[in-house]
Amino acid sequence: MTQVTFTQTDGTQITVEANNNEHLMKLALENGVEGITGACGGSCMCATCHVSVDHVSGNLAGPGEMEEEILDMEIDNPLATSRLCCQIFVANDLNAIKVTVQEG
Amino acid sequence: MAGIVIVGAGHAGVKVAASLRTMDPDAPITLLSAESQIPYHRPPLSKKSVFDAALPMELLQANGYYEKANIDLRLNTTVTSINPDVSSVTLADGQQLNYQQLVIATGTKVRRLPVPGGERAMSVYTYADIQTLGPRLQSANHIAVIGGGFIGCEIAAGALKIGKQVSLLITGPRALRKSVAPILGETVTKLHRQQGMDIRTGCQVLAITEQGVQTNQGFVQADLIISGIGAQANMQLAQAADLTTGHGILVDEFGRTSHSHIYAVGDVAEFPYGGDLLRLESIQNATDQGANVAANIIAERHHQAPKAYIPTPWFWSDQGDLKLQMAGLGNLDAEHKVLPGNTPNNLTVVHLSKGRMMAVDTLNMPANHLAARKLLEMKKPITWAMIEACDFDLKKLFKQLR
Repeated sequence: MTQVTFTQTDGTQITVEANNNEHLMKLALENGVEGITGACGGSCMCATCHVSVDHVSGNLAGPGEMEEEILDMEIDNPLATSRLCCQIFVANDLNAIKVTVQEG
Repeated sequence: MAGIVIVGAGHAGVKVAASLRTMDPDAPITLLSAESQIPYHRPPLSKKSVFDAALPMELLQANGYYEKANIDLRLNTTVTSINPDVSSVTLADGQQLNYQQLVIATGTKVRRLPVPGGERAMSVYTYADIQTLGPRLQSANHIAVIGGGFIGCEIAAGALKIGKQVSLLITGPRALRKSVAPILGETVTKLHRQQGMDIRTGCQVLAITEQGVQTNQGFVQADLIISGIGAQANMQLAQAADLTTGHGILVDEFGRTSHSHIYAVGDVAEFPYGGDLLRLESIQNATDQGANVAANIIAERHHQAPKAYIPTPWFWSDQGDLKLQMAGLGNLDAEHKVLPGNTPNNLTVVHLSKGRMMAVDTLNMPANHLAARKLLEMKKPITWAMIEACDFDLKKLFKQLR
């Protein structure tokens, strides 16, 4: 199990335990995280699940080509830690991750 | 107190409800769904869910969202009539629901094959469909898919990928004939064939039996038959209420139907676009038009001016390992130019109409798709010469024009 913490725009946090292969956008929707829409259903076609990654314990794979392009083109001021959380997958070697919801 | 009633809880209906709630914390919102499932994403059904034995469902909003947002979501609730004269809808159980504003988001229904045995062909439209189809797909050996549009290609490619023998029966000369530039349709047809898909073009279905599909080219044996031959607007309620309809429920640029206080949105709505009328079946349209109509309802309630919906359409289709992405509204009559630098699995095609870029189709080239989307959203004239001057780099062109 991986511990996933979402910090919402009002500063409140939601922490959940996640299973392998689940992505963070799905977790966010299921747990009512404010500000995550996931309009395209996790197909990496929009920018409505934008987060910044604050902390990683373990391994986290980097963004793919489409995700990098969306971050570059769709987000006005992407951060170095910006990610689309539909593309962040829980895995065995990811112990814990903390993200903050950002403007889509 | 009467508030806003939304008929249909697909992508568009839910988007209207959620946007309304964001803009107005108090307006009463009722969201009616004929389905028994909490509203969910439809695109993954034919792109991935149906091929996964676990039949995963992606919810549009979390299970507890509707209660928390004070949206009265009513599942298993069918509307039997709209009564504009008294501003109400009648439900199947006879109950009347009054509205101040009504939103029709009833989407589409799949076309059925008009041939003997046509009812044997299964379709993929709702989660209930894949609950029936999924287990049969897992146990089938030879699958015949009828229809060479996005849904047909997605199902055929997905089934092939999980090891099924697949025949794709297409009436036209290539896959995706109506949806993408001819060269892209030809490329996709070729790539699917290379993976082992039996694609039959110019193939007319005559009848469906328990053993397979009778066509003008002979009999195709199959133990499972799936059809994806398009959909038509669900507009009987609107027609019975005397709303103006065409290929969909006609709305103006603000999403308003011919009756005051009644809006239509998403797949079912036909709206003005570039001097013509357009009905779009897409997530982009459901999402953007949904947000627009929500804003215009709030404007109506506060006696403010509405805003026009001027979209830049985009679409995507996942077919096995192929990712197709379309920006803008493609046109078969346009001039189609291929950007240089393609490999056998990658392609970018620019649609030029009167010398101006109208749409861009890409295969496995997400960066070009996104750049094209951004360029088209600028609503500036873009010519082939401008693309050439930027070394055919769409992103470079976008950054220059921005």
